[in-house]
Amino acid sequence: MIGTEAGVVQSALYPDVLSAGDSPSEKALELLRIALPPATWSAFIKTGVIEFTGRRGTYLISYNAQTKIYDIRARHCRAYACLQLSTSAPDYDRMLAEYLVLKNDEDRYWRTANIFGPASDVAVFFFTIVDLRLLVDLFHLFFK
Amino acid sequence: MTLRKLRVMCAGGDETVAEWDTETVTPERLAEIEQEFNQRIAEGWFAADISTEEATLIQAFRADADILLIPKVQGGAQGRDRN
Repeated sequence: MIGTEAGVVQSALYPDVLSAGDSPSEKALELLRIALPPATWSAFIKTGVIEFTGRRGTYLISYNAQTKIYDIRARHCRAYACLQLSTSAPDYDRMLAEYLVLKNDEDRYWRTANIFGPASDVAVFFFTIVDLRLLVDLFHLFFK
Repeated sequence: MTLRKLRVMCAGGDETVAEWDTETVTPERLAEIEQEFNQRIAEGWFAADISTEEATLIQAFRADADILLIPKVQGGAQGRDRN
């Protein structure tokens, strides 16, 4: 079963996993522990993400979010990737599958996953302004 | 004695579909396990040898390896984020 250290950390991150006993998520987490190199597993239980650095970038594989791809040199997020299993399986299994494809055939990952560019700075700035304007209008409406 | 497993990912986590002792397993039993492996590969699954830290993908059955069979992967939708 999962080690105590992992259990404590995981219970804080994902309470559903450990409270369910021998649940699919718990089994998938145990499989992740078996398959990941010890250093990668240790980092995962601390951060909740699997980090892998390949030729084309550094990948942060998350439990419940798209995989972030960082530029190796500039360290900025250059894209998001979404890869899924063709059958139903716990998210930890999907994380492991992503890791294995990346580790063994990074180009295949890029051919298979849907890759999305990050929102541009201009778009983020524009929507921030719109949000602020809406917030101001809301305050006016309530405190008029 | 070295025990090896053939596991498959499934909705319930993972399932061990075969387990064998590399020293005592019969050729007939190995042939059955290999057939199961080949059938999944033909359906588009891929396989990883998870006995070592390298966790390499393999194309052919290996009796001396712990093998994980993984369903076909495909591109997903943009809306995975649940944060």
